[in-house]
Amino acid sequence: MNGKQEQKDKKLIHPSYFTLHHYSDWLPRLVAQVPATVHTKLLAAFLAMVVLLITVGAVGLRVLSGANHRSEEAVGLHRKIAAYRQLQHDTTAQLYNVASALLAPDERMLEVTLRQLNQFGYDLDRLQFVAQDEVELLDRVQHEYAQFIQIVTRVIELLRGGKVAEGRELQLSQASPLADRLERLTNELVNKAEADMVARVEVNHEAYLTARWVVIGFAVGSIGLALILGYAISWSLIEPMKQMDMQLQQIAQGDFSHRVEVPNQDELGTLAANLNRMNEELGRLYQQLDAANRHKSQFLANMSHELRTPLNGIQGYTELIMDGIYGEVPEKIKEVMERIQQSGNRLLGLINAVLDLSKIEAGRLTLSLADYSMQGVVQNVFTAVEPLAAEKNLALNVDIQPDLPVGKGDEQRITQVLTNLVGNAIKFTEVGKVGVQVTSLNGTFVVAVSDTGIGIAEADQQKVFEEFQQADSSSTRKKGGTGLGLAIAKKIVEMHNGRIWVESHLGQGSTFRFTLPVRVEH
Amino acid sequence: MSKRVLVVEDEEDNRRIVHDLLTSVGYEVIEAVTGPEGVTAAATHVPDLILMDIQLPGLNGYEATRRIKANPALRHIPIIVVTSYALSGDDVKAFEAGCDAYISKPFSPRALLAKVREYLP
Amino acid sequence: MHKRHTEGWSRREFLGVTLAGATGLLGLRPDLVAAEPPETTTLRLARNDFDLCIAPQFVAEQLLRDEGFTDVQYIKKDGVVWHEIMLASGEADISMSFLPNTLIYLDKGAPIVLLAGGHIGCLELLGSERVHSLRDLKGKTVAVFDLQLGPISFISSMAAYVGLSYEDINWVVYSPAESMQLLAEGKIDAFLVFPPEQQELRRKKVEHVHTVLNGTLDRPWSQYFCCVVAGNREFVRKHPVATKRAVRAILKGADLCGREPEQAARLLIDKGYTNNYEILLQALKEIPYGKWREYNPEDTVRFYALRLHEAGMIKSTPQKIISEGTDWRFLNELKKEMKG
Repeated sequence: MNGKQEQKDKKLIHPSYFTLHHYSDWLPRLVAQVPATVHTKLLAAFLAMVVLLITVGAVGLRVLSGANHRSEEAVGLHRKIAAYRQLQHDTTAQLYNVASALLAPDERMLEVTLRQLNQFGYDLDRLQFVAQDEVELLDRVQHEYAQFIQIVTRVIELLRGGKVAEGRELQLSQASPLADRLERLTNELVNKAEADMVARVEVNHEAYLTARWVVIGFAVGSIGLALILGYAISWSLIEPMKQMDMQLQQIAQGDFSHRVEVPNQDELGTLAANLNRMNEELGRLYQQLDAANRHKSQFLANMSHELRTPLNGIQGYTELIMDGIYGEVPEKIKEVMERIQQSGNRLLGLINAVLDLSKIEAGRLTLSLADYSMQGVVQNVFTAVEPLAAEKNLALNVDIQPDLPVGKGDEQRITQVLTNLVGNAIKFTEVGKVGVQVTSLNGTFVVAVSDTGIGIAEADQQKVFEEFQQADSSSTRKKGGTGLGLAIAKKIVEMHNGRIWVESHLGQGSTFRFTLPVRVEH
Repeated sequence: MSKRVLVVEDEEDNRRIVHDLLTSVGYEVIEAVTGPEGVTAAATHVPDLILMDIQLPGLNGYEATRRIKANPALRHIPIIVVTSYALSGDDVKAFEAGCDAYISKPFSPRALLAKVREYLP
Repeated sequence: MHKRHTEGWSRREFLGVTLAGATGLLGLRPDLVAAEPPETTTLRLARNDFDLCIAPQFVAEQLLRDEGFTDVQYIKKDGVVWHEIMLASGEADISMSFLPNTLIYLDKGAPIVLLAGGHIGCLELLGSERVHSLRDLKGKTVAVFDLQLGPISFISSMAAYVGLSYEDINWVVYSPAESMQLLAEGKIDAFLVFPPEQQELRRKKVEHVHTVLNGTLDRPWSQYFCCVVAGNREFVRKHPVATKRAVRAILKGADLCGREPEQAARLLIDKGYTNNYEILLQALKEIPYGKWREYNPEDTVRFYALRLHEAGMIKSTPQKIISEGTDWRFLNELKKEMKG
């Protein structure tokens, strides 16, 4: 039957394609259903990602500034520790001074000691205090130190006055314990500040860990969101496009039965709807075309029968009469009868040609491929046209390459082509010869039909292969013929995957060449 | 005894041409107009050759051919099918139906006579 | 407020609770009224016969009875069992303990709470000829009881103070007797000695061995407590009155050891804690027992916590240890009540 029918039955199935996205496609569907243009959606998606980036950046900055702040605090604490150590150091130094003074109580030493007593202190205004009791502690230090100065001054006075024993006694009973207390107080200051530092380091570390998780969390969240968004949008666009592409492929294959179902409310949705409409239209047109073709086929069949039947009558009776079945035929009538017969033959030729061409156009002409001998075909044609050539006193030359391979094709049609070409050659040549040359080269037959006739002008060389065209329309009447032969010949040659062309100059004869694959398989 | 040829053909002109042609050379011609008539005539007269047209009203030529060939008594009779050869595949159909030869319309009476002589010398 | 058993409440106790509760609700600090009898009459303290510096604890036996504890038990276990372990497990309710060691337990989450300071540096670091200062400990061999707990905590603190780390020292494990022997032979470079061995060694005058550090005299160690009064957290939470009474008794015991060491020594000999009166007396005289009023125990905790943190032996910050492992309320009240 028809190849087209088979193709129509073949459907494009991609089962994996459908199951793949079955579970995860609710999100793209959701996005697709949003009634906004694709442009808007993409813009929204990009903006969303920009916002996410900004968010991550902002969070990162905030975290950085927190870290910076903490490091500044740490520096402050460090400064405080240094200050307290200085205080501690001072205290120890003072004690040392006093002790040395007592060892060697000369006037100069005592004076120096007194002076240095007053140089105790540290400007603590710039320090930041963590707890209230720090301030209290410092106050106590100041207070105790004031007392210490008092007592030591008294001790030095005693020493100056020569009362060394008393001085030592005072030193031991009052100054030393005070000094001890001072030492413990300054120790406490330093310990407190150091403990603060340790605690702060730990807090900072915790804060860093938290901050790190926050940033990572945000980054991961943003990435996740971006990916999801990207996935949702791109699939909401890609999936419909894929479906439409598949639909188009099916249409190209001649399958108009499917419809694209796309939830999109954007341009893609419109596109899909249009595609569906187009699909329907095409389907309808195709059906119409199909119907028309079928009608045409039916028509051809009918016409063929209808046209040939009366013609059969005319030809039949004419022949019987000519054979004398109905009695003797007078000469005058015989001549006219011959004319009638020729007209009938021409009519038959026309009907065949027209039906052939119609068939070819409707794509209904098929070749019946079988083995044939090119030599045999040439012989047959020659036998058929010999009388015609003889009538016009034209020489008929044959040049067939020996050892021609066996061909495969539609022998009847090929004969038809050669008959047409040779017939034309004879028709359009008044004097001279008609030659047929057959060669085979690389699996291709090359057949050349040459004549010494009127030739064909270059401008007309393309035209002659068209339907109802002869190089010179006035000659049609004179020469006879339908004007269809070459068109049909061309179609037949091309159906065999061959080529046909003409080489000619006006007034210098023509050579029609055609090629045919030796073996035609399709 | 002259050979008998059964002609199954619905067109009067065609029938007449065949009849005139064959009788002029000595065959006896039996005519049938429709498929069923043809089958009946074949059974009744048991001709030596049947010329079967394809385009017949009602029962078409293929079916008639098949029926005749199905009849064991008539199977031996050569059937030549006449077809317009409008659509390709007609020849295949013809042979599938069981005919022995075919000839396409329009045929030249001389050619038909030659074909008939092949089967009925 | 305090969760208590509903059975066995006397009316006095009930009144006391409501009073305490009322003051608590009014936002006032709950005054742990010591006029009340203790919530429990049983008190368990830890005892081992090598840590004689915590004599106040043993001396206070009668004082504890006076405070209302009818059943005063001194739990002794075989081998070397640190008081901290007993407090943590709840076998002992109140006990004095070695502070650096206790901090390590606190860091691990032991349910111990520090209540008051005890006495100052009852220890000495003895060294061979190769070790003259703490700094010299670098790369040397030091003998200890145990590689995680005990004297090692103190030595690590000292080392951290001069910038050494745990890894800078080559630690070996020997008993005190063995350590003494090895040090005399020069096979190890240092080890930490406590009373009464401290005093015994001084008597012996071992050659080639000298004191690198004396906890009672050398600064800054002499500014800080080495032993403190501690209690099991649950016990303290449930029995605040008993806790306060117990602490008071022990502090009184400390005062006694400081003011009348002969009497204290006599008491301990009688009770069978040790045989050598002379050595014990020497020790009691040397150790400064009266400083619990003057010195700030919180600062001690802070100082040692910092050093141990530096040495990598504890992970918690000093602030965390102080906030979770100390309760100075009893001490503060007792300081007011017991003016020296």
